[in-house]
Amino acid sequence: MTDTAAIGPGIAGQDMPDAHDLLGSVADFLRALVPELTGERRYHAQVSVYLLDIVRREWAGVAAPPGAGALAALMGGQTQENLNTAALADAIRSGALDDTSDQVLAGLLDIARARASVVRPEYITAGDAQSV
Amino acid sequence: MAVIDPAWHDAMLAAVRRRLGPDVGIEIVNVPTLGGSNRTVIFDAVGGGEIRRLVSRQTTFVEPGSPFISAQHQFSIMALAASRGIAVPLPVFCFDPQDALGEGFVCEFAAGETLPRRILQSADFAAARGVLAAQLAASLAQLHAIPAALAPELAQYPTSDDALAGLRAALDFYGEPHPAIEFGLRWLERHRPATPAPHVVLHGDFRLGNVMVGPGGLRALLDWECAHLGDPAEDLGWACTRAWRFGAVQNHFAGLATRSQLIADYRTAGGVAVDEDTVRYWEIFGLARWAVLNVMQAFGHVHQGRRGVVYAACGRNACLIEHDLLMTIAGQYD
Repeated sequence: MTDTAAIGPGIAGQDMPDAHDLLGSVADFLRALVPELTGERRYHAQVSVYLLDIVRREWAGVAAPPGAGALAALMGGQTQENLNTAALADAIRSGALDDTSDQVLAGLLDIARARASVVRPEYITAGDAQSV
Repeated sequence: MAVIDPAWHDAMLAAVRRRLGPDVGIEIVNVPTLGGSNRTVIFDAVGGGEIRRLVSRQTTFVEPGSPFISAQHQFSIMALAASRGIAVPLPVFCFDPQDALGEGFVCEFAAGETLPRRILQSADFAAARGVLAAQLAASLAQLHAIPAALAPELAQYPTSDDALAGLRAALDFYGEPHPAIEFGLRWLERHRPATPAPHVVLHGDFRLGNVMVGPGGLRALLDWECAHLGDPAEDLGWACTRAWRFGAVQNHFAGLATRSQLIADYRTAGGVAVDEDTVRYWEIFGLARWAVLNVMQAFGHVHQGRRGVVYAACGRNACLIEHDLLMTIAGQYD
């Protein structure tokens, strides 16, 4: 993944610890701090840990979901890598993809699952929609 | 507790004295700032040997793209609901330009619990849980008995005209393409309920978290900033939306009761007959709407200076709601 290469360990020639370690250190610190806080500050500290964990998983990289390729094929002339989200949204809105809505649904679900696996991996199995 | 700005304190003191009398003082009790669009301050008005506990609700979301009705209209709808015997915190006064407090109002304080998981799980609310579902259904029936003509101020909001078009316009405003939400909107467009529904006053955000509950059950309906006009089933569907079951997914209605129980209780209390598929339709609408509201918070965080870790998290959580939206359309979730 390009983003990972730009930010990831070693590229900028820094000494240890690498960026993942720095991030994990801050997350661990905040996690330990949470029980000492109350009210809104406690809540915000919990959410901050949640956000840092998202970044950690995002940097670790996630395989492109097969659904992205299927949607690109439906859109014609696009590939999994250059799937144009805005064009896809427009095509769905216009009704142009109504005839293939089952395939669109399957592809979108694939993408949502892949994103959720970064944002909150336990969510898919727990099957429960909550705000943090 | 957040710190109160002395200038705000003085402005509020002057505003209270104009309405309640020149000898009244105010004592700040708490600043519970967990809400997303309002600054809430709880205070006591003290004077003449009496203490009256009040709440100031000041609008903090003042940028374009707000999905919320004006504070003045929240105030007037709460007054209308109160006049019909619906349990709401009684409105006391609305801010005016002389107050220099921006947009907002003061209402009476309703004591109790709002946190959904505490209401659903704590032993303190065991008795409340036995009656709450029916009480909530009855409140909705009472509210929906108010014809749209009595709340003409709500007609100007896009969601009062066509909820689906209003939602689509909101998503467009935030400017980030969301194919999954589009898929939901397209599905909703193609599956609009065939039977025309009555046009009534809706709460618009009727769910646990926005109701005050005591050990004996419902005390007051709070948070009227999404009130609008529409199909009564929209409020029922929002209350059954998966996001508001708080883990108790088999109890569609607020984690408290099944969808069919809500429909039966609502009917018993004088509400119109609603079928389960119509409620399901509005649950799918609810998931699309909840996803858009999360995009809205991320938009505020990235583009409008309403910064915060919670708003940032909302943006990333949109994919979780999209997942539920798609799973529900696919028939994998009920």
